[in-house]
Amino acid sequence: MQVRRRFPWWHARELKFLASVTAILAVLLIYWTTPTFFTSGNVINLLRQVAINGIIASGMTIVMIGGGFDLSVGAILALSGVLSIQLAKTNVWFGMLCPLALGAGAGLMNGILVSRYAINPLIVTLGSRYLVYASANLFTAGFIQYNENPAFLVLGRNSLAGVPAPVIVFLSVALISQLMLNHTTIGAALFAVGSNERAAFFSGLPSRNLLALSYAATGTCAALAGVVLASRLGVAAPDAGEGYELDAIAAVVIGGTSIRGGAGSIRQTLAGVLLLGVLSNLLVLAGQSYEVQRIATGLIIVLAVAFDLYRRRLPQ
Amino acid sequence: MIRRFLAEGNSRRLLLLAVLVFGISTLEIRFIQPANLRNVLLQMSMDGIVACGLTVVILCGGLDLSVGAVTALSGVLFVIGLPLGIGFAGLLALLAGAGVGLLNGVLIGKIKLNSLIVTLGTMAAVQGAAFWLSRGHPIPGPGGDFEMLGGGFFLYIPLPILFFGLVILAGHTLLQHSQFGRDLYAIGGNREAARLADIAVESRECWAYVLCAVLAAFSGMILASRLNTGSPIVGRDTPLQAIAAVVLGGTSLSGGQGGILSTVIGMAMIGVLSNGLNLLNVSPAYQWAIKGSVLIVVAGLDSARRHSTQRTAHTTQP
Repeated sequence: MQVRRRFPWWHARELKFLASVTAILAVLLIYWTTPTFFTSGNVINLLRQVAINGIIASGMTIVMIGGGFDLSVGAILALSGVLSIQLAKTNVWFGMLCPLALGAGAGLMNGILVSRYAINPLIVTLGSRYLVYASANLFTAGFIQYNENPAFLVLGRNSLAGVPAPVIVFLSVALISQLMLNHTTIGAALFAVGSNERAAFFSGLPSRNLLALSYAATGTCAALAGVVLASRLGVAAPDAGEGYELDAIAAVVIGGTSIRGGAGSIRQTLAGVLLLGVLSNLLVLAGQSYEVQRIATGLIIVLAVAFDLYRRRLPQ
Repeated sequence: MIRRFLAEGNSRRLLLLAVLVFGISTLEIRFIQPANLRNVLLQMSMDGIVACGLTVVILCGGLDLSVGAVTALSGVLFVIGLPLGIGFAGLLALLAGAGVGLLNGVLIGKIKLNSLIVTLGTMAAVQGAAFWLSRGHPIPGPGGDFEMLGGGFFLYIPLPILFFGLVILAGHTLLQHSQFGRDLYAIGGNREAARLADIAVESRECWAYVLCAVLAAFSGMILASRLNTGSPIVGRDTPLQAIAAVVLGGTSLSGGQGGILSTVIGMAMIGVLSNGLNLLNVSPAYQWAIKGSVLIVVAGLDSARRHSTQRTAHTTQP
């Protein structure tokens, strides 16, 4: 009751209403100021731009729901990019699937170090970030890799019924992750591990294996993002991927997935990814520069967590 | 006596550092020459100052990812502000750092938002501000007096090393011999207990972030002066490097354990390793691989030690 007295008008339901009204007003404002935003060309373009971050962020959601954290996704993206272009020179399928296995392996290594040896995930993935970047550089001798096989570009550049292939990959990844998290025992168990690992362990859940698996899933997603990006660009650099980890974490957190684990969903992450994408798209359409985008992104992140905390303190 | 020596985390790490120095010196005698050792110190002093600030924040259970962006912003401001006089420009840079730290501190300490997310946000915003102020270009400095801060000497000691030493001394004194420092350890060890013990948790935390950001800004000024440039793109890797140094030194990321001297040892390990591997002509890729492995192995050993001591205390540990 005390809390209610402090926030007299702000019941959770009214907050939801307020959020909907704000969203509608924002759409109207966008329509009025930048009509080009709603052209189908721009919407397709926007989706294509968010696809890479969306794929990584889906994986990041899984690991963060399990209470973990992954800083190595950018490095895995870089490694899988150069690897896929190199392998696609012999066989396209080889080039698309091998990096995924490698990403899963790198993720599994993170997961085992975190769960078996109880090392802080921040440190493990920081260390493996160095290791993976090192292997990408050793593999390419530091050179940018150029694609020589036109068939490899299908995944990044073609479209199906007007929808670009990266967007299809992104939506499939999101759908599979959502199904896995909310409609399987593994997903339910992961939520349990994320909210209280010890309790989950003592209830007989294989908490360590689940954690390790969640890291493997994130690594696979990051590797898939690397393959799609390489296929879209036709080139891959061994030092690419800088900043992707933080963009993905930003999207997950803006969506409202808790950094302490045990709560969140892919749907929320999709909202976060889209919000960041729409923001940068609008700022570009409005002729704003990269620096203004960075400032706006930073402010949105802080505002989103502040709002999330405020909402959670309300009486339900 | 040896066992007691080894039980102390810092002495174990000093031993490791000594082995490292000895090993590299036998492989490459140039490493141990005074000129090179001075280089090692010089190279680690800028990141070292940042790592000292970060230690303060990590001790009270937080984290600051915005330190790299603050070094960039303060470097740019230091050069931009020069027409107003060098002292004023320096003050401007430090104040900007303090402002960012205060923002972090208020959001994390008072409003209780998660430190990782808040500083991720301020990192993006401050990077943007640095780019905006510099119009995206590195701004060349005027040289001359401006280069004194990073290139000057005092009694044959390069000024950055001297500043690093002063920061270590002041930081160590602050953490070990002042009420503020003891409070920070208490907060990092158990926040709720600290609050019940009547420690002003919120304001202590807030000041820790301000201190960290001011040190990052100071390091940014030295860097700008050494490069004679205010560049918006420096500091990209600084937070991760500094966290690596803090962790290698043995400060626990969950707070309450560690100290400035530990961080200095961690920083020295990284510095010696980088310099030694450079002298030995090891390619950067292998250097990253070695650094990454060392980080994971040292953290793993720490974790194993912690668990074995806990297991003797509580037999129910999973």
